[in-house]
Amino acid sequence: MSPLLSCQSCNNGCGFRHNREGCGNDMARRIVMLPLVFLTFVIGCTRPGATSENSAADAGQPVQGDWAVVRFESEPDNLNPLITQLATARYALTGVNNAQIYEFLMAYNPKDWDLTEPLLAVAPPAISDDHLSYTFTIRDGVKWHDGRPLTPDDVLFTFKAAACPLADTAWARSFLTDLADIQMDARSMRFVMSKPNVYNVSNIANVLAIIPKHVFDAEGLLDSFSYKDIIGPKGKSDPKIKKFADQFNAHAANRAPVGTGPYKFERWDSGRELVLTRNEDYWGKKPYLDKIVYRIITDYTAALTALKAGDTDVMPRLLPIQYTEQTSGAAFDQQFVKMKYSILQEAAIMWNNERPFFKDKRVRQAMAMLVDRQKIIDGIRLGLGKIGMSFLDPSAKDFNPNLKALPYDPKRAAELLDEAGWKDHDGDGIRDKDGVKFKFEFLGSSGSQIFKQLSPVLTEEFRKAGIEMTERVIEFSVMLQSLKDHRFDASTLNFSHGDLSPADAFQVWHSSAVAGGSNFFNFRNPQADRLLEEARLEFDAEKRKQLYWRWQEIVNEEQPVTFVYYVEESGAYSKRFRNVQWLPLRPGYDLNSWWVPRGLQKYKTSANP
Amino acid sequence: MKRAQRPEGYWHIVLRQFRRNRVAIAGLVVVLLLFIIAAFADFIASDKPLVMKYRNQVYFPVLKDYAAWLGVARWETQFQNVSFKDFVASNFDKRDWAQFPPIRYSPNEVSLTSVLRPPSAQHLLGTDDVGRDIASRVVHGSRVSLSVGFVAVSIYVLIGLFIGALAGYYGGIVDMIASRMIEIMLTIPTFFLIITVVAFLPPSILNIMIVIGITNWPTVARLTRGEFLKTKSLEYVVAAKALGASDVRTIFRHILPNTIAPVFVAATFGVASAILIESTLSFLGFGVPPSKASWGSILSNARQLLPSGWWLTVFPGLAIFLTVTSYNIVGEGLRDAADPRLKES
Repeated sequence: MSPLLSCQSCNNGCGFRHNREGCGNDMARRIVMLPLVFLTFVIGCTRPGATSENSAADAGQPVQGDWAVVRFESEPDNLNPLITQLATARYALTGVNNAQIYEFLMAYNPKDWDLTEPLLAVAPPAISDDHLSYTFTIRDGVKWHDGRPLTPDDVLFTFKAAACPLADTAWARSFLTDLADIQMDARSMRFVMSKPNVYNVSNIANVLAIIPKHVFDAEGLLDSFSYKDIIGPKGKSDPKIKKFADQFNAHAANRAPVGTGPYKFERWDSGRELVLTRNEDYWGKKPYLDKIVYRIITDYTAALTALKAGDTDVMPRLLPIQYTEQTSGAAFDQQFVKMKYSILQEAAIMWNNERPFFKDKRVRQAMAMLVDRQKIIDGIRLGLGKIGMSFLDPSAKDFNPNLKALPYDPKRAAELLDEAGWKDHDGDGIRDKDGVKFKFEFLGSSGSQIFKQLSPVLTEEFRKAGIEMTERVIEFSVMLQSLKDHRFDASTLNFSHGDLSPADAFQVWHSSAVAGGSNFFNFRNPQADRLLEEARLEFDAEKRKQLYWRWQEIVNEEQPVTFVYYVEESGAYSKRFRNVQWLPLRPGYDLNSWWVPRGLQKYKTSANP
Repeated sequence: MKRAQRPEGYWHIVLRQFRRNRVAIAGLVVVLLLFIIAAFADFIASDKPLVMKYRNQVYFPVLKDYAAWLGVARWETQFQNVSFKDFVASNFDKRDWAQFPPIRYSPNEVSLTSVLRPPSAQHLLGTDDVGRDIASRVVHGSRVSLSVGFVAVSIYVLIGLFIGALAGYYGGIVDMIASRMIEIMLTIPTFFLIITVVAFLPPSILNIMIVIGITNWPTVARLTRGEFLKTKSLEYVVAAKALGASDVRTIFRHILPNTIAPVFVAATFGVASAILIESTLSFLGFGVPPSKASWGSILSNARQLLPSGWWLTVFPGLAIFLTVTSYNIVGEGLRDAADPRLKES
């Protein structure tokens, strides 16, 4: 799906820059497959004792009660799932697996993290043989939080609202480009696509959270239009649609959502906290916690202090230094469980392939060989990460296990640079070729902690190889624009994905994505392009895998981008919680499954935290 | 008093007064010391040897580095882009020797194998989150702080003197315009103006100097204007004019030297505040480019890591404190010395 780019500050640093496009848009929530065995292993590894204690207590019968106070690193921009640009809003709205305040048509199954679990749809869709039509049946007996029943009209309305060209739903719309029509017949809905694509189901059932028509369109402004009308010329000009879009963009329910999910919205105090209460009328399995409180604390130091003071119960992300140093000791261990978890994200250095220095693949390979990844992981991430190799996570089904990351090898790098003609002809210590000196700019955003740390390391390493790197630091949104316009020599970003499928590869690596997509680095390779095109139309999983394997080999060989490391996150939560599962999905914690034994419960529903 | 010769000059008196003030002298010594450290930073902290003998030849790598930087010399091929510490370790035999500076690290020399080390014999003030030596960074950071203080204040003193002199000397419409300009500038909170301007500019030391320079002149202008108003009707000025001295001559030769003392005092305090502004801007991330060592940027880096790494906060903080305090002490000493009411003669 959509390429997800994170400003690196999000992973590591101030939530204040955690904003706008790119930054953790994980609506595409695809999932990393992470065997639970591995998870247990990690817990057992980091915190001996905790495992046995937890598993013993897990044997008890889950009970309702208590709250979870979770640290949020940035304030949601709004709580409309079709409009919001921020990851935190999505965490609150649809939780870890497509259901919290709002729900999706489908969810991931917790076994292999494929999108097979029906949610608001009764079952996975019936797919026509030409892969163009997808029929869902909408679940009966689901109630909105205000008591009204969910109807297929609500689903249709959601797609119409998202497709509305004047609504602020650009992000959601980008997934609907192939959706040509929607036909309704009682509770069954047929989605007609214009092109076959392996990822069509996910585009329909895994992008839009279903929102209530009677709340957002009480006047029935969109009633007289079909989905086709809205994506047609009328959508832009009709005064009624215009009026709807204006109302929708500024609707009161954008701050006070009414959904169908297991938790109801209670209140949102700007800058302080967001409170959800359990939905006692939920159609599915009811969660245990009475309330979820998201407490907004942008500063990491302050957040850790709040955790230690008992003001929050869960800190889903710790800085590496907090994980390794500031949360060690018996006092902390007595109250909290600390853990590492995998998150489908990799840090990458992008070389602008059109620049004279980086045109030659030998130069790009040489650059990669000058990056000492293991040292960077050990020194900067303090061990939290794995050497980056591919756009796909090693746990992904389509990951090519035969890939070999280019080793750190300055000698070989120097040879490659010489071969490519970059030699120090004039003896000033900087390599040159055809009168052009090997001097380039490394672009980064001012909020990015990783950039701040990576840049001096690379500068020094490249200088030793006779390459001069200077850094240019600009604000994240400006930087993103520069990347889109290809106005940079080299830069660094994190790629984040929703799941193990390489669906988002097309929008990052295909040459058509140079203009308008996320192929910022000007990678154009006909063979790689063809493989990606074929993979999208290959419905046989095994054959598709072969195509992706070959594609990964080409990318590794060409090195248009050097993957530095796979990000590993770390977090801490209060020991009183049971059945804490850390999913390989964002945000990682599944509060719907957590519970607290009666004797350990801290908050009573009537009391204030 | 009883001297028959020429009466003692004004600056002589000021100097004599100043010398009596022990604290002020101590402040001045510290300031001068800081200037020496800044000027010779490369000889105090560098990863290159000051002198070394290799294969019967004597080299001066630190000096050579200056020469290469100026473009007047080239590194020998064998020393090009090498890390001298590695070079010494691997290539030197018994007869070769190298004398390194007291701090054997460059400010930007990273070492991912020794990140966040507390102060030790190897790293006197510890290392930061990418293994850069804090002692070296503090020493080199003094360059940024001192040059920002000095240049920025020079810029605004010049602007302020010029505008104040014109306003005070000519009066009338000139004074009216200048005074309104001063008042308008004074109503704007300088620091927020600086942040606004800096946000639009790429981070660089020069930009900070200029921005501080062009936003702080009103105080100096107002002082100068006042002094000019007071002085221009004095007999010696009238005499100079009667003798046919031009306006330029009267202003610069006769009035200015006698009005500059308070400006000088203000400038000294100004340097202290300019250093603070630079540190604040760097702390907020608007200041020097991140690769440049500056006291403010070291602090800013440390903030992310708190409460780990106390040495990252304490030492640059001390450096700022010491410098600002010294300048303020010198300024106070100057003010007392220049104040005619305190003159005992």
